[in-house]
Amino acid sequence: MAQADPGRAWGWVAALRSGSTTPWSQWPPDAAPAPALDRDLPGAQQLELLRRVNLASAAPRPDLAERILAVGATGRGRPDLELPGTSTSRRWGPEPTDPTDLGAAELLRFVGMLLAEDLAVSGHRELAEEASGAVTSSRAAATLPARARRRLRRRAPGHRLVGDPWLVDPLRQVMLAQGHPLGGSRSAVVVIGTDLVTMLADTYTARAFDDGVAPWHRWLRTGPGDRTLPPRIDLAHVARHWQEEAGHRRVVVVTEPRLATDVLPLRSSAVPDPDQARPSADAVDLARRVAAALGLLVPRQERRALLRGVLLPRLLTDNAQHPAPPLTVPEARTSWVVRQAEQMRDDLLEAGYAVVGDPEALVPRTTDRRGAVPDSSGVLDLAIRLLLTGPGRDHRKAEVEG
Amino acid sequence: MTRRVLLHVGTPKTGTSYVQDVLFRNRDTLTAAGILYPAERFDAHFLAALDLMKLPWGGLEAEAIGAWDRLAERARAHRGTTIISHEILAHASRAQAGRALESLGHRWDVAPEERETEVHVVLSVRDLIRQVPAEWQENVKHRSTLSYAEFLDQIRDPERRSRVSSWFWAVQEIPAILDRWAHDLPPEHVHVVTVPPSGTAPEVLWKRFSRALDLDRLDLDLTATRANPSLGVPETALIRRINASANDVLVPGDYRPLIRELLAHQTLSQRRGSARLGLPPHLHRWFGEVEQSWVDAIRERGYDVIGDVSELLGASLPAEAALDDRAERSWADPDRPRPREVADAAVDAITALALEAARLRGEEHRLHEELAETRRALERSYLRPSYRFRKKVVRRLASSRPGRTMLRSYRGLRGRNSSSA
Repeated sequence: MAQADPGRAWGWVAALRSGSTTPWSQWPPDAAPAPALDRDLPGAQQLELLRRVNLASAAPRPDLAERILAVGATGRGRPDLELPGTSTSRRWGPEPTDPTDLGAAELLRFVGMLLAEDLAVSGHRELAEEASGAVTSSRAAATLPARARRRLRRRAPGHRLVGDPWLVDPLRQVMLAQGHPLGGSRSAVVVIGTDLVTMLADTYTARAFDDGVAPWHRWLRTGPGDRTLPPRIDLAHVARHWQEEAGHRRVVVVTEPRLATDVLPLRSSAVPDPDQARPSADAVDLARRVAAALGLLVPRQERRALLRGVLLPRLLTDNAQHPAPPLTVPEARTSWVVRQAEQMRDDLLEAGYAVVGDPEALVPRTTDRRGAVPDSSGVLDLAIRLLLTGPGRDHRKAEVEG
Repeated sequence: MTRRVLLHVGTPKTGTSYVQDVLFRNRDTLTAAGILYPAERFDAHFLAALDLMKLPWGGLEAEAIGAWDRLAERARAHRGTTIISHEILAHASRAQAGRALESLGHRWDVAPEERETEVHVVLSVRDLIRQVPAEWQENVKHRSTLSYAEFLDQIRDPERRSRVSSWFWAVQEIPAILDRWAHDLPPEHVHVVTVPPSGTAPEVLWKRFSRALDLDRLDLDLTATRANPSLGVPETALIRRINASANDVLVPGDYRPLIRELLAHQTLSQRRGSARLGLPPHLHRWFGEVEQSWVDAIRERGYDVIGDVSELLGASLPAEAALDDRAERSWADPDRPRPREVADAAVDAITALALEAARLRGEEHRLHEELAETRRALERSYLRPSYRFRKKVVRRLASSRPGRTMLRSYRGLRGRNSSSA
């Protein structure tokens, strides 16, 4: 190990700021020292993250480098670690760590906060731009005379959409945008689902883009996905509840999302394809990490809007360029999910609800297994791509000046 | 030098709740003496600490957004002494501590005599013989289901990779905390307050805090209204079992008032005669050696020690006694509590919850009555001829453009914009 020398480490920090990709372990022992630029050296995690960003970046990004070196981790976990050879009397605190030994999961604790900061700083502008676009289109809709008005005047009973949250939420938005009433005491209840593996992934995805959620494996083991199904996608339970509230005849169960327009006053061309709006497994994991950090920066109601209105489109754009598989349950859980799905199918058929689509569609086909569980390395690569394509200093400056 | 900041950064379970309570309740007295304790709510500095360290805390973090910057701004604006106190600040990383100090006006890159703000760091400390079981109990009161044995294994792991271990040493390893917070402060501006041994009169600890925070000259109301009481062995075991059973179904917002406050603090901590939590005798030596190294470091660094630094060595068992089977047998293991004692504690817990349920039922009944009375009053007002007349006028006005303009003007003049006349 080299002689303890903070000046040498500051020299490495300066090189990293300028885009160096040399690991600390290969930094020359006789490299020129540099003066301290701050009270303390950044932690090994921040320095390694900057090096990884430099590896992925075509050119140095001084603005991003400053932010990376200053960022703190989110939540509990290992503290900022020291570099080997930088302290003469290391007797307390965690052992100094070679940055290249740090795993992707450790670095992701820091990236989540950087992406959350991006959203908190620039996301509002993007949301505002989107909202102004939405106003234009809703005005345009209002000028379609008469369609919306007639529809509202017609005293149609309206529709209540329940079931898989990732399928139902976009449909609700389209319904509202087109002036169709949602809910009401005499409305038809449309229970929308798909195969149970996808519904589990969708429920988790909705949580990840909302308040944040535990890691996928832990959620399946100890969360609502354990032993019982999450209430919103237990379609038999949902249908039973609404049968008691609204009456048996008003409940319709849709088992294939593409057929939802058969029972809703929507054209199929107006409804977004759910598969296109489904982020990859890695993207969902990144979203939950960003959600946790974003909760420390903005109020809860803004968090959901920023995650769904700004982060999700960025993730989907990235997925178009770097395709990655969607979220699925680990193979060991598949048989349990299939049993639950078969039970759900049988319960729905036995209760005699109107069903649109093949009830068999609820049961996942184990032979047609696609998808993946999140992988930390993939999540980190994705996060670094987003960091590099995210708003830079100019954007931030404009935000402050604006 | 015009500003002075006294920053009390820990450690947990050293009487900090009491100190913060006294400071909060005596804000006016402190202000009159030129001392600012910037807090509008008793947990203001806790929220500021969460914000500084970006720590999620069961949803409370949402209330903490921007809290540190607001606190620091008030400290910078005060031309006198400011006191800031919260024990979880001990957890701050080097970068977070540096940012906090800078936000309070500290300059790391100028000589101490040239600094415009004089920052003092205060750290209250207690021996590990008492801190280790107290930290595990605190974990249990924050929903943990980890057994005591697992906890002890994890904190002795030299890698410190687990969340429990990294938290424990972050808030307990005294030389490391002082490295992070005070490596660029003169040692005379670092005040280490030792907690006296068990059985010492409570005033002794307050007097030490009073000296560290420079409050000796003030006449303060020292009545305790908030504390963080500890539990015995069967009571802690019971809470841990409740955690294992209820964690998945009880959200943090309900856990805090029902389990931590009602059961742990208000009910189970009041029980007397239970065995107290302690360190297993065979581990006294391991932790004793750690403590000795800390005592050496504190002496070597020349900090201002208030109390006796040797109190940090705790009431360790002599080496031969620690290896004695009798000591091990008489130690109460919270992972294997006596079922009868746990059952007794559970009866008290059920009674407390039943009383709370009865109180809430009474409250629910009262609110139903209130709501029914409000509805009746509303219906009566709808039936009044004057209401029906006003409603008719409003409807008529709302049907024409001039009428709507008149209504808007009227409501604007009236100062509110409801649709009711």
